[in-house]
Amino acid sequence: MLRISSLSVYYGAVRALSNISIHIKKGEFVCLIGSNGAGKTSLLNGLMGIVPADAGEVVFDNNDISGLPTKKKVKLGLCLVPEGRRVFPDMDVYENLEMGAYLQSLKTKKRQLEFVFDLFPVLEERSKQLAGMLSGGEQQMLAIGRALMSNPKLLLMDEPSMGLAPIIVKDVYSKLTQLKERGLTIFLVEQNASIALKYADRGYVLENGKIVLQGNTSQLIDDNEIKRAYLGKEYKEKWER
Amino acid sequence: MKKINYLFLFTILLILVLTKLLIKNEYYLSIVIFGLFNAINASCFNILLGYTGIISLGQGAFYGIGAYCAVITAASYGISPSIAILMASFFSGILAFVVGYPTLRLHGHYLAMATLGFGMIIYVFMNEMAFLTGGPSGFLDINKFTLLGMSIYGESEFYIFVASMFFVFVVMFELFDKSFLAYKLKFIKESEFASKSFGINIFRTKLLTFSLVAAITAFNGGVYAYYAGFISPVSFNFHYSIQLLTMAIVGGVGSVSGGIVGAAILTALPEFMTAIEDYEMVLYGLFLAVTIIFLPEGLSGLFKKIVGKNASN
Repeated sequence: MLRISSLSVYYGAVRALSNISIHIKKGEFVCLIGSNGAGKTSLLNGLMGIVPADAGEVVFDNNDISGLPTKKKVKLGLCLVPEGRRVFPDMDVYENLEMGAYLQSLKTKKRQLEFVFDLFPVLEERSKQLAGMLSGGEQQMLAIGRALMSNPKLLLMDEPSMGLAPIIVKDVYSKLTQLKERGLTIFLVEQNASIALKYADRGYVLENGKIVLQGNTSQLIDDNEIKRAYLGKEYKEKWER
Repeated sequence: MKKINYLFLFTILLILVLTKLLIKNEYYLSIVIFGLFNAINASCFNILLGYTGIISLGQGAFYGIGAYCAVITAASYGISPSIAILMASFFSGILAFVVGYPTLRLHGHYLAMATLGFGMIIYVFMNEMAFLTGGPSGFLDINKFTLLGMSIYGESEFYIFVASMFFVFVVMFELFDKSFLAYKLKFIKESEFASKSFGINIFRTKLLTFSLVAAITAFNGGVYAYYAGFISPVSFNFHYSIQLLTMAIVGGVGSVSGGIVGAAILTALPEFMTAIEDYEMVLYGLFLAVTIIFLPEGLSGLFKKIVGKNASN
């Protein structure tokens, strides 16, 4: 469904990402893990066209979308849930959701609104409340709902666990699993490797702007290098000894 | 999307008609006319600050550019005033585009400083280019205002013209407020990054809004020049931009009624307090501080709250 080949992102002369190649099949839940500054956010922003990406090809649903403006990508069915949620704080929940569907027809909007309220009943209860008054977890739900309003085929998520209590993070991930079961393809980048690897089907590991490892999450969890660098397993064992 | 507030439009129309019927004194009528000019400018400022989050302290300069360009082109090429005003408005829009292109990448205080600087530069130009503008002593050579062959002269006739212009603008602002464009601007104000990720071209939208608002302000300025019959740089200095800021904030940012209410109060108030004229700026500062602390939604927000409470009781 999505194939990224040798994508690079530059900030002026600084290269944030080099030669990234990723492929995602329809219906898959893929995660990309990496530490601070590895280039996770740059990858998503480059993919959406929020920051310019050079050299490389991005094919989505058999369309070459490299270099297209963000708006066209959203129309084709790519949608990003930005890092730190970024809801519109002084607008109510309903207006936030409405914004997500601004490129869609009235019919799609109604259908997606029902879908979102069905998935996140809490948003329906609070539809007249200001988004800024919601809790962090509810804001994350709203951000996901807002993205779903654009009727995406592929949902991109940037650090859904950021700044949330562990129990809420679990909640968010179980919602993502529900979405996957309903046929949505999900690609998320995450610093919290343990939870991402637990829920996703397949994973990539990004380090210093390069993909260093990839495979099924079940394999990745058992990988010694991952255990050491992201899950802190070995240190814990040493500590216990 | 919300519905158009016909009651609001009707109230405005009623007030405009009643003013014409009740106020016979030319001096009071002239204050009302000044108030209408201020209201349009403050509403324009409100679109920038309240909707888009652009803080521009150069609105006074655009107002002045409109006024000067209109009268200078009309005087030197003998064009009819209405066409000269349109040309001035167009020119001001282009200038705003050129100025906005580098400056609208800035945010908050930096943008305020940049637009303030622009306002200052224009003010210096108006003062120093005496061969064009008449310098500090002002521009005197203003023809009578004619529209479609009809000459408009005197307070009463001008009131009808300015009031109808004002009403057209209010209808436009109300249509804008309920349109998707207003939402788009508010998305940008609330979160630029989220708007970007949904494919809104932030820079282009801001630039177009800024240019359009400058064009309207300049149009207004052109009409003002013909009404006043005499313009000098003092009317378009930094002080005036701050007045507009105060009007928008006291009235309430982010709503159509905000700029109008603010302009009405802050145009009328100094007339009753001529004794403390020297402290006008201090008074504005006080108003600003009090409104921001106690009435973050301005007077129109307060009014809406009271009406809303009564309705729910």
